[in-house]
Amino acid sequence: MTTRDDDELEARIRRAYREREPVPFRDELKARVLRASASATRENSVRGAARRRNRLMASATLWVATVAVALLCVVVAWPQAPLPSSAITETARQSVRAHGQTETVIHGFGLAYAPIEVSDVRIGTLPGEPPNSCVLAELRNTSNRTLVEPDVMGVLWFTPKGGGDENWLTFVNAPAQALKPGQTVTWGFHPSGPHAGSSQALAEIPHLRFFYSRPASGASASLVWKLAPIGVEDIQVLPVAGGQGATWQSADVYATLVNRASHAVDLADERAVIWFSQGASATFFDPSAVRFLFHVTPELPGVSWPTVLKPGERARVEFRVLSTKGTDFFSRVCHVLLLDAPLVPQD
Amino acid sequence: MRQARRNDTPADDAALLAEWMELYGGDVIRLAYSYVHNFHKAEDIAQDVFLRAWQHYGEFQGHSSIKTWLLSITANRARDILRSGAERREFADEGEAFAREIEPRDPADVVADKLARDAVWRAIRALPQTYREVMELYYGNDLTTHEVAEVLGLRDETVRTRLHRGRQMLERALAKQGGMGIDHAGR
Repeated sequence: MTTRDDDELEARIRRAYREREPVPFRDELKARVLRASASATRENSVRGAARRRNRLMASATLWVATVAVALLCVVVAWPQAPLPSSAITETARQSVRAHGQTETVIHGFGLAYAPIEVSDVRIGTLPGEPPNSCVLAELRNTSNRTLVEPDVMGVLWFTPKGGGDENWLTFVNAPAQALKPGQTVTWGFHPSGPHAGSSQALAEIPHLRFFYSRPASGASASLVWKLAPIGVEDIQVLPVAGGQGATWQSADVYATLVNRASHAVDLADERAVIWFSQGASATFFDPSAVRFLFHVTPELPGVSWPTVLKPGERARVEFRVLSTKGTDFFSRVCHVLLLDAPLVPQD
Repeated sequence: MRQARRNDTPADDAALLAEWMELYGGDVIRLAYSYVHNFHKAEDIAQDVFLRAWQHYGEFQGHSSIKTWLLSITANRARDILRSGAERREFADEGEAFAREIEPRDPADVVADKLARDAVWRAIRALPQTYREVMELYYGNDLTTHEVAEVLGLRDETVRTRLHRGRQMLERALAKQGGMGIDHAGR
């Protein structure tokens, strides 16, 4: 190899490293480390106090054995340092008890309805799509301000014709054009999934609701999406062989679920939110996120996992996400979160 | 940057920990990722690294920089995980690895650039770990060979040798990839 080859190779290596995708150090991770360090500090301080108390106890015992008269003084004078630890513990217990009596803390996400009146939700056909493979609806802006697409996010779901709960759901976008106060537009969406069979005709009852694309506080939330007691680990995104068409592309999202509850969890009662964010710390509310909703039951041919997870049990699951050709699945950060069903209004 | 106050009680100094993460979080997670090729595993390693470093700050001798110290803990932790078999499946989930799976529709020169870059990555990823980790620290983290040696607990000379051999292996691998290697024609 000549010097010039050396230089060229060196330049190519440096360029490859310089131009590679960054691995983000997310704000969530930073917060996680700080929380863990705070927790370790508290444990250390409790352990330290216990050690100090033990040391003092040992000293006192020695004194008791040798100078009987001094015993009383030692016992009276010493126990200042160890006491706070037990006092803190007791206070914490009382505090937990007090909270338990007055309020129930739910870990989850508050959603507020957007001021969009949805009517005439029906199955129909959009230009270029197979007959009756789309959902159409009339949307009216009931507020006195213009709503733009990033302001809101919708959830479309289906229930069986014979009655029953939601059995398939997906995130949908609001109309691309701004919705002026009082304005009504016709909205349409072509879902893909189990409801699109070989004919792709939809057969079940569609429902549609729009929410503000930002978290709502507990007090103002119209609906709370409650976090499931299921941890998600080892998320991976892989391309699907042949999984792209002229206008669409797909990717497989793999994740390991672990039941962190002390009871068995039926995965049929859970829903998965999957989103691909540009920023590492974005939530699924972020308008720039590409988001998906799934039942946590196997849908892909040849894929299976347990229906019920026992405490501590793990399951590897797989979801196939589908989006437009331009979606940069692989340069975004993929997040998977499990929520307790139902995610849709029950009225 | 506050420097080595080695006898402090770091447990009381969360600000120091936050500062480390701000300054070196990217370096740590990138190095962890280069070993395990899994973002979430890399995050777990990074968390472990910062907590360990913070808890053992009193043992930090100050002979190296904080950065090389943190990277050294990262490399050791990642190797432990690989050795334990907890992370045998090296799924590539980094952008450059996937980019080649997606049919490009870009102009020809962009495609050519991308193919060349992907070829380099394929070759780097195929290197044995002993060479890959040296390359990662040297090229990916912009460390000197002396610093790489500190991180990996090697002699400077060994690092230089591994870098040299790693480059040779890369050159051979690129040449084998049919036209993706150094073009010797006309020289």
